[in-house]
Amino acid sequence: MEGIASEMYNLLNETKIAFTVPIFGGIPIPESVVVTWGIMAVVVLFCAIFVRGFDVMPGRLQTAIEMFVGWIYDFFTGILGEKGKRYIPYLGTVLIYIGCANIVGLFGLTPPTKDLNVTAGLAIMSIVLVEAAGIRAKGARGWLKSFKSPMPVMLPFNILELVIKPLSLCMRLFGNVLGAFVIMELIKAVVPLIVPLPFSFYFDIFDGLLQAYVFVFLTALYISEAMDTE
Amino acid sequence: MLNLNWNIIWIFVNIIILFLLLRIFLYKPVMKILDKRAASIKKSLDDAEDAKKDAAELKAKYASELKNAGARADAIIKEATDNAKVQREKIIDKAKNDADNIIKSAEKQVELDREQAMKEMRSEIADIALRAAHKAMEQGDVSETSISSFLRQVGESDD
Repeated sequence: MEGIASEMYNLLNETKIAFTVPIFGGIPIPESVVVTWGIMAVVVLFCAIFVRGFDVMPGRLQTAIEMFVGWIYDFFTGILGEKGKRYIPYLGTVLIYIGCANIVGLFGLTPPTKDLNVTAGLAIMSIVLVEAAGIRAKGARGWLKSFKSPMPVMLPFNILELVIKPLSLCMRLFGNVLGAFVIMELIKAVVPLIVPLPFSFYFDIFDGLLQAYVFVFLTALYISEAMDTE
Repeated sequence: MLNLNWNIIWIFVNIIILFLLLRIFLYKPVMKILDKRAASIKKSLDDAEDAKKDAAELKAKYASELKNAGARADAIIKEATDNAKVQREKIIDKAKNDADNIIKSAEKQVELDREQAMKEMRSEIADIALRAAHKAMEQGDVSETSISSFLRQVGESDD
């Protein structure tokens, strides 16, 4: 057990560097970034190849892609309403990215979401988008005023929310992926054959997609709340 | 893995790039096709609606035209009948006139003939009387009875 514990501790503390760009005295590229590039390349190539041939009369794959995009639009329109339509492509992008990032473990790669920098970065972008949506919807004054709603006593809590919201987003995603990773490592250490398989399906596919869903769902909810002009 | 450091910038850059790329390669084309399909469906429905309206209009037009045609046919028949009536009356009048003329000219002819006949008869009678008188003078008997018997003889003879 001692061995596993120290191995895990080492794993948690190191930032895996995939390679170093030999300019400016060497820029280290973390593994998560490389995997992210891979995901980006696959997703964009997939879209570029299959969406290009789209026709008014859809084929089977086109129907599937249309249903997926249509579902994204319907889902976020349901939360954000018509005026929040502009934020849908970004939320859809994050959904696709986190979904892919979480199931990339199936192909033997390290999920980028297991890197705290990635989940923190996503959470920071989310909170920036949320506040930007608030400013856009209410104007700068209205946005500032919204901090003392429903009553001025709430001011410190509302300011704290600026930190709490992204922190919870970040930690929920990171914790789930990390927890899954730790549990999978432990199971593999105990029974290396067959038994990890169903667990892998649960943690890599179900939990991975669920966390992607939860992340964008909450972001959309925060945006809708920020845009809410009472 | 647990270290929060400057590598956080990577995810900002990557997500923004992915967002821009997906907007070009996924959302815009897909939404375009969905909009296009919705537009084409709407157009088809509108066209069908228009066609239906046109058909209804045409039908109403034909129905009214049919009604007009009936009325016009009636008018034509009436006119024709009226014309025929006028024509008939004209013809009958003319026939009457002609008949009258014929009758008048026939009467005239008859009158003329009769006058002619009378003239001839008169000269014939005078002739007969002359011959009877001549015969009586030949016999020497100029009594009234003999003259009348001679007259009868001459009158009954052919010449």
